[in-house]
Amino acid sequence: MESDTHIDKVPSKKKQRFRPLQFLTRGSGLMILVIIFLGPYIWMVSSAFKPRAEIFSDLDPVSWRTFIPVNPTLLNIQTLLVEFEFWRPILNSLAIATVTVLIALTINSMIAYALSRMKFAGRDILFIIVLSTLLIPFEAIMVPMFLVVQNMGLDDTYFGIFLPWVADAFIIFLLRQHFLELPDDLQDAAIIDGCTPFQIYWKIMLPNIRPALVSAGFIKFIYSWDAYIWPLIVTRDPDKSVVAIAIARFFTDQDILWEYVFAGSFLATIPVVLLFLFLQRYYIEGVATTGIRG
Amino acid sequence: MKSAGWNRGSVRSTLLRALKQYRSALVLVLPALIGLSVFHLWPIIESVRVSFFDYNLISRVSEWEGLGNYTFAAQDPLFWRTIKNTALFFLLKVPVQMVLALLLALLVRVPFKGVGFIRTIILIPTVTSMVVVSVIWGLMYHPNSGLINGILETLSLPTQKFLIDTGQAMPSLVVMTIWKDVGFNMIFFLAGLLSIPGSYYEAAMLDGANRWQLFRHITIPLLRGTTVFVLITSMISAFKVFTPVFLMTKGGPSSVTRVIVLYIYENAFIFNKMGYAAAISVILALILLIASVIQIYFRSRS
Repeated sequence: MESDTHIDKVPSKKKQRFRPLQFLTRGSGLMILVIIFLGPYIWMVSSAFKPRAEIFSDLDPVSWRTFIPVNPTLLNIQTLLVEFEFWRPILNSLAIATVTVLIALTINSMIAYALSRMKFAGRDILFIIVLSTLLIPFEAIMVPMFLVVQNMGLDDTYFGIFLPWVADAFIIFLLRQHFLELPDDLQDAAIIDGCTPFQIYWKIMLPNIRPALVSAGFIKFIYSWDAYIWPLIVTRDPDKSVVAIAIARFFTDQDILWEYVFAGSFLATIPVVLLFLFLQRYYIEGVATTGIRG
Repeated sequence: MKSAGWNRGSVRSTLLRALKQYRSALVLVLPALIGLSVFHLWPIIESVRVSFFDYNLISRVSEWEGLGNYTFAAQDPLFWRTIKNTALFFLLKVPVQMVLALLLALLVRVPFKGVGFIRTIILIPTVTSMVVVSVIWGLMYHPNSGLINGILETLSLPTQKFLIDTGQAMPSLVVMTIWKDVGFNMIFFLAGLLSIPGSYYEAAMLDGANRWQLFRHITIPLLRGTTVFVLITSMISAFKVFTPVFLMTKGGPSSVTRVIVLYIYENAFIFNKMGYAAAISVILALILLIASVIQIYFRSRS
């Protein structure tokens, strides 16, 4: 399907003639891509609005009915939110993600500013120490991290869920890159005006790296929303469950509550996909700069 | 204490200014530095320390084990199994994912009607939560009432067991995670492609090079740095896999999908063998550290 697309095209003056065969292969190739990437989502959304029996009967055989609810019902979502109190994990996750993003942007931009725009002895060593935390990922230190959080008495608290994640070397790296690109004149003028370093950071530098803050904030939001292992380890109280934990509870070896898996997944996907549609540019930019990934 | 750039005034005022500069730097540096130290650096040290003990999470009793946990790992067939499974996951996943990502990057680089839409739908799985992807694909793979078997049945093809079959479980996880992660790799290839100057292609075209030759002799060599970067970051990410395995197979059937991080989790929080879990964590950290060092080496060379 990529037969004519994986070749490097060079701007050419030749007028493209309409070639029906190429049009067809290309069109069907793109169609397959759309089905592969969107299919699971369409199945998820349509099933979220179907009664349990219809979810199964619409698979035998698979037809357009599989992907479009004929008699859409809000019952799954209603039961999920009211009886299973799914609003609670949604609020928890939203609150945790928002607080994480706000604190993370504040403290990481502060250190990123100091590491890029201020002069003090030991600055470069400090930056290397910051970067060294990237070499050992969370999965390799989750056991001692749990012991540390437990010793601080933060296990099974909201603080325990988000506090370990606010300081983030990826964000420091990303924001430092952007601070470095700002012209020196900006800082010099502020120094002449008698601004303190903190004023320069807050009033002059920070507003100038707004796009990078959006990138970092959005990526942090996704990661916070996505978090599963850490909340699983650190919380026991079901009232403190985050969205990921609450969805996983409907999907166990013993029993799968299909309609609530679909409805919960649908609700959990809305915020990130909506944000993504608006912030796609910032997301790509942030990922490309830092190499940050799941 | 040395401070650069203050040559006016007496030594005293220089020192004062340096102190002042330190103070304002300290305020800016401290919050994040404390966070990183407490929740990242300390656990690294703690991980090495705990790995020398037999630590019981419930009774909170710890006994010195020396290298006991490491020699136990060396002789633990299940540990070697998890290393093998994780390596297999990486080998099955990453090469295919990288080739697909490069093809997709080449596709969406050229402007055509709907290119933005195609790029968006390839990236949506990368922002979707791993738990959602795992449970939805878990239902798609469901042997009795899953979507994929539904499609196979409708087409009169034989249905498959997917996650409950020893031969199919790992490939099923691989397909799902490629679907989720291919967009990540595509971003880097896209950035790499866009950084190749168009004049290179024009010059080669004038010399009569065909499209394949352009791809083979310009695109591929100039993407080498990107390829190494994508390979290493994808390898690190493959060695960290946990959520889909934990939710979809629990390491089964008969341990064919039991990966390292799952084994760490089980030892720490199910078998209550914190010390052993810490020892395996240290081994995992060393593997990933070597990968990162290789990447830094390649980066600094180019």
